[in-house]
Amino acid sequence: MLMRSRLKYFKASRQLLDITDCRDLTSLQAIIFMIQFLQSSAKLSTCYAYIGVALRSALRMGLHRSFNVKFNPIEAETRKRIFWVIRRMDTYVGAMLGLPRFLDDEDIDQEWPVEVDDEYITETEILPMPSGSISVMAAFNAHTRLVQILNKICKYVYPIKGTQSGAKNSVTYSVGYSKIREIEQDLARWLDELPIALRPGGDAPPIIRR
Amino acid sequence: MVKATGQLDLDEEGKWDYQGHSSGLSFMRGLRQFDDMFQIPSDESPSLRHQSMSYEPPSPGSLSIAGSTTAPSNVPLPSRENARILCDSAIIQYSAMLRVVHLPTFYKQMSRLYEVAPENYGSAETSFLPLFYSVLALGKLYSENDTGVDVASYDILTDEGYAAKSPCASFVHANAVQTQVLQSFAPALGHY
Repeated sequence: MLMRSRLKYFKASRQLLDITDCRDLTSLQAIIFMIQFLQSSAKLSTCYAYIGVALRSALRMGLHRSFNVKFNPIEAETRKRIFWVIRRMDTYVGAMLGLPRFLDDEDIDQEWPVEVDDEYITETEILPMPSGSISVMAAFNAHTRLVQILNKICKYVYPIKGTQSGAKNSVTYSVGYSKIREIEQDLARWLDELPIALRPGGDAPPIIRR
Repeated sequence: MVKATGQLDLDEEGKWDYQGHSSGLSFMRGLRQFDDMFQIPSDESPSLRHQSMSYEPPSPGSLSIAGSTTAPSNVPLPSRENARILCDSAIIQYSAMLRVVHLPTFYKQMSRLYEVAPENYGSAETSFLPLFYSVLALGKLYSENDTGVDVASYDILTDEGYAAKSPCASFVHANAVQTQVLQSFAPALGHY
């Protein structure tokens, strides 16, 4: 019975939405929650298909571009958040399945979300957070940086080009030690730049600590 | 030299499935070379076989990208208090790192659904419904796992997570272990 109710909600959402013609932020948010639902309950490859649809919709809505002056702060921040979440999902699930990403970094000039909690973002302005407090959006952006490193790992450690065919059914390639060092340094730098509050033992509010 | 093990499989239904060499499947096959060090289940073991939602076989199209063509059924909304709990759990707890909504706006829209009679829903309310239902679905998914009601599907999820884990994940994971705080946002990082 319980299992049914979650599937029931999922299907209701799915039926009310034509995901192939999604051109508003609310519908795209709905697809993102569907993807999260599927990620925990279905095959990852099903997720990959939904992420593809979400990414194409985001591109059609120009979310990869920085047009944020045209929007009020809530809309502008929502556009940024949606884009970077889809970007992360695409990289992450792509890596899990060993499939390439759809979108090149060169084609993106969207800014990162402002590291301010929702209650300080209004239709007219973005208020500063009280000093010493940390936004959940700081963790959001830190995760985006981590997933960028994951993408680098896929590029360096699992290249498509540069492989050589040896004996039958055996394709080999080499990964330079310097590349591995570079990735190690990237990870170390990521940890270094992580806000103190997000580190183990840091002084963070319960929502971040958990 | 590293062996590239990306592979193209054909399943029993004659459908193609390509997984590149960073994939979890390739990683597990690679690990099997070192049999003595790791206990790797064979490909036939349930943990590596592809599984769909086997606890409830989806009706054709229910999870497919094309969706179902049947008319939207009337799924009643949960009580307002219950909805608030499910939404908090989905948005604040489980997708903290994937925050795509503006919370005050979201809850304002949610209130409208309960204040306006369904027959008077305007475009603002109907366009919010799909989002609301999908958030409820996610909230429900996690609240059920939390209470341990759903042990069978939990096993499936962990098996899938096992199969899906790629070397990249382990690599990043190794580092992430130190940063337990970030790791507590596990749903965002995948299936741990």
